Amino acid sequence: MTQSRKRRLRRWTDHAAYLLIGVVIAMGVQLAQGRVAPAVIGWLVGLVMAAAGLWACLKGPRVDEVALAGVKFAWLWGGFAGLALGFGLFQWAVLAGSGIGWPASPAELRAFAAGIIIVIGVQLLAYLAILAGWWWRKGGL
Amino acid sequence: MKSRLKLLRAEHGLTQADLGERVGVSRQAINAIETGKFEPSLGLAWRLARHFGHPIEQIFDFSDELEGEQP
Repeated sequence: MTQSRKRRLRRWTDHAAYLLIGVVIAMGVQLAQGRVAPAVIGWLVGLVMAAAGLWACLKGPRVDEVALAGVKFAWLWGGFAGLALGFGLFQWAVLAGSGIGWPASPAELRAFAAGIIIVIGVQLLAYLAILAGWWWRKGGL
Repeated sequence: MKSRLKLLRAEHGLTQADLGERVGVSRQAINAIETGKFEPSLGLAWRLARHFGHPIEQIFDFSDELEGEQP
């Protein structure tokens, strides 16, 4: 068990994961202390996310059918649960006035656009594109 | 679905990781199939059967799926 763990720690992906965690923590501390401009943090987060996305795409073909079944299960039920929870949180955040005003100010709208429309919107578009491509390859469209 | 996969793997002196590598899936996938928590696709079942040199029906027990079907 110990040997197995030692071997595992020598894998480059483990070091990359620890590096990423360290960068995120450091960035969080710097941001909290106001030492780094939010724009810089935003670009760094974007860079890290792009690298993570690229890594996931390269890693993707090695996902076997069991892992894929897990992903499908999690996206289906986790996605529905998250959506329901999100609507609830939206009601709390907007209508109850806990953070976001209504009608929203331009700054709040920009934050909303950056946080929701760009991140989740692009993810949704990519999801729909992949889903359409999948059905097209299966002759279903 | 029950299977003889664990028995066959032990007879051949293979670890779950070894077998997974030979048929193109992860160790976790082999474990899930052996414990009956995941039913493999036809392609994976065929690769496993071919690896051990047995027909699919000698490795996997389909009796649960066949229950209630008209002969």
